[in-house]
Amino acid sequence: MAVQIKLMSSDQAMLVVDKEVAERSVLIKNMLDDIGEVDEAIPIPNVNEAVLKKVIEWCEHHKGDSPSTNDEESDSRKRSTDIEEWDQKFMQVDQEMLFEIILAANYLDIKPLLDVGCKTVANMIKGKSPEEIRKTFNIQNDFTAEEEEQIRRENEWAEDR
Amino acid sequence: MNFFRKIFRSKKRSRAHTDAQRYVSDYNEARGYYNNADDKGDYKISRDDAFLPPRFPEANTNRPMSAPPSPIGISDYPTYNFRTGHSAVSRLPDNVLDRIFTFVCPHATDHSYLSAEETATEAGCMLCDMRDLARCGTVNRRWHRIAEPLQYTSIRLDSVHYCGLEEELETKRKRGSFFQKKHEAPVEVPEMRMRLLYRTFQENERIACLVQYLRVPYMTRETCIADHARLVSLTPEMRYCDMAEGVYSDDNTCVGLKAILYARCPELRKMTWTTGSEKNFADLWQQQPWRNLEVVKLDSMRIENGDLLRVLNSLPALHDLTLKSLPWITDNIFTPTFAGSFPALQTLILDDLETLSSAALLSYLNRPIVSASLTSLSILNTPLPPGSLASILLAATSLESLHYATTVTRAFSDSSPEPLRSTSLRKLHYEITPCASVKGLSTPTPSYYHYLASSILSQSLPQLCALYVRESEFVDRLEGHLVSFSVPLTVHTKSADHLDWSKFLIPATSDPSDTSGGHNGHAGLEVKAVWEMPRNSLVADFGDKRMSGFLQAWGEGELLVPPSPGFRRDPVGSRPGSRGSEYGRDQQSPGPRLMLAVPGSPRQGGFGGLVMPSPGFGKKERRGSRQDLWR
Repeated sequence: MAVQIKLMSSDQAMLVVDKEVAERSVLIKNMLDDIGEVDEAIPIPNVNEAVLKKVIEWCEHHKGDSPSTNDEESDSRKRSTDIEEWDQKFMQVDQEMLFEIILAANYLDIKPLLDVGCKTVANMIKGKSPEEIRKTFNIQNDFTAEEEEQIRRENEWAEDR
Repeated sequence: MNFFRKIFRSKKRSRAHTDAQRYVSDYNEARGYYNNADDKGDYKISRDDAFLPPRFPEANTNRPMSAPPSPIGISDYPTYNFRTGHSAVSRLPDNVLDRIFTFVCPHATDHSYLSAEETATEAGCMLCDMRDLARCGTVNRRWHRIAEPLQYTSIRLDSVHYCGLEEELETKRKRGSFFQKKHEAPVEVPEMRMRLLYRTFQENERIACLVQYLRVPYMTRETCIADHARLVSLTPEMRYCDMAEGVYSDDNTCVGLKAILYARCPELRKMTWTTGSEKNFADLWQQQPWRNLEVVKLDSMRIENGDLLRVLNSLPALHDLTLKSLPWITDNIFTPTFAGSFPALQTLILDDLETLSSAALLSYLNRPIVSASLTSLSILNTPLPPGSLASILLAATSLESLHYATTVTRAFSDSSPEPLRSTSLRKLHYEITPCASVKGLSTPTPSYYHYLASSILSQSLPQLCALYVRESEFVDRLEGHLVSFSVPLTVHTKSADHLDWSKFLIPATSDPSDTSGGHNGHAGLEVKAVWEMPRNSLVADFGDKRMSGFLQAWGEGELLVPPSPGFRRDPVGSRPGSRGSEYGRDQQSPGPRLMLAVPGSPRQGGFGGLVMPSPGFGKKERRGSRQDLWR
């Protein structure tokens, strides 16, 4: 039987997962490497139960993935915003949840999940005007009219013509 | 006494403080950064600029709150109150937002010293990506602070959109403008972009200092030399920029541009010298405009050994050197002399050097510092015989990539040759082609490929994972033998009259993803190659026997439409406004696979074109080839 470990979410919920699945998180992996075997639950103070469950669901689906190589990371030409079909469905959640997953992936140091989240957000940004981006993410425009005009003028070289 | 000293010191400090403040506020007023008096006091040192305050200081309320100390003391992960009215995206830390932006515009992180043509990708439309990133910087102050360095560090100006948008813009351009005068030729788009970029640099010095990489299309850099020179005169941090060919050969038309590069771009990392610039190159050791040069390319120059060594030794950061067609260079270049010894490098390309001998090269490789540093070596069109490769591999202990190409007239002579042996080699180009001018009774090349195949089968190249050979039936030499491979080997083959490489995959014995046969767990695996379809091939390339089998199966009638990149269906989840990537799909399914040409299947790059395109497909077709430089 696979070794299991316990995780404690920020709202005190206990989750039992396979060690192999939990070790997709570099944070947990390093922690387990440092302290060795533990019986008590590992506290994950910044992630609540719903998000932690979702993250574990992703880790379970991707537990057999080969670790990504560094070449891929360094070669910008190989970066793409294509997302695997399963991951796309996985990311079909409301915005609040999407950002929670990204934050959790960042905190738990699960790079592939962070990338899927970032790609999803990047795809939401693509092809939109600044005003549409603000509307999509409910962002307040804190530029003055003059500043905005100044940036628009600076960016004119990048606009379609 | 101490008391007075203290007063004096505090006065001094306050004066220094007010001077700095005055400087900052003067600077900001001059630049028009702050629009109300309240903003003036609120400045902080930004991460990319130690002297100037951020242009648009963010309000305190927008900054992420600092987190209470974590009980396990690991991270400063911010905790937030969900209902404060902030947008969810504002909770993302800066590094995550930065990462999102790199996915919006992947080429913004391209920090290679390669030209616009070499770095072009099939993944998406780069002009669209650039525009989207620029728009991200207009959303709010925080996004601006993060997007701006990304937007300007590596700039790429393309001539056309590689997406459907180009068609719309083309119609718009044809319609013309009210202001456009009939007798004036319309300004080309990339030229226009260059001028606007110059205006931005002129108005905002800080942005100009961010620029490190500038890629412009071939035609623009060849025709707009004056615009180009103006642009680089404002960018002191420039590391790589595409230049007109004339700069390399000291052509009269490019004297101005080269002078500006000398004076204003001390950080350049890559430079080429070709015929005509011998004097300039030889003088380089006396006056050093670019002390940090890392990549140097010399092509068709008449230069002496001593001059070359003197210059090379004056460049401390040099690690990548190409020597091509240098008739005056002799073997002695590798022998240490009063001018110094040949520097240790990571990458060395020796192309068309008539006098190169294996003894000289070996004496260089046998130096411990060289064998430890050299990871990539190319020996192209030199008199060095293929039989000397074994001793070269033995000497270069860190070599990961070897590119060897030559033409041969006679068969491999050595009866019991030493096999190629290297524990570090991962990539091998072994391109031996028959000499076209000498007609013999039989082609000499098979003997050389037999030698290579026996080396591979003797397992003396354990790390080899990519092999390029110029013999289309090379895989047959490996198939059927009982050997175990520790890493999967990809064999790329190409015969003399083909344009594209065909790809075969030989899976590793211990590869868990191997599902091609029931041989798992055996010590020796019968070598079985899996053929992968080349992408973007033309019908003319399908001369391979296996290929023709495929084509016959499909019947002749369906070959009317040649496969072209434009007829590929966009994959699920590709970015809006840009085309899908092939790289992404490649990485998602590792391991061996045999493709079946199913009509309409989106996975088939080459055969997608066999299907008649649906009426809506025309819009996705690329307008003109990317290789079409004359646009």
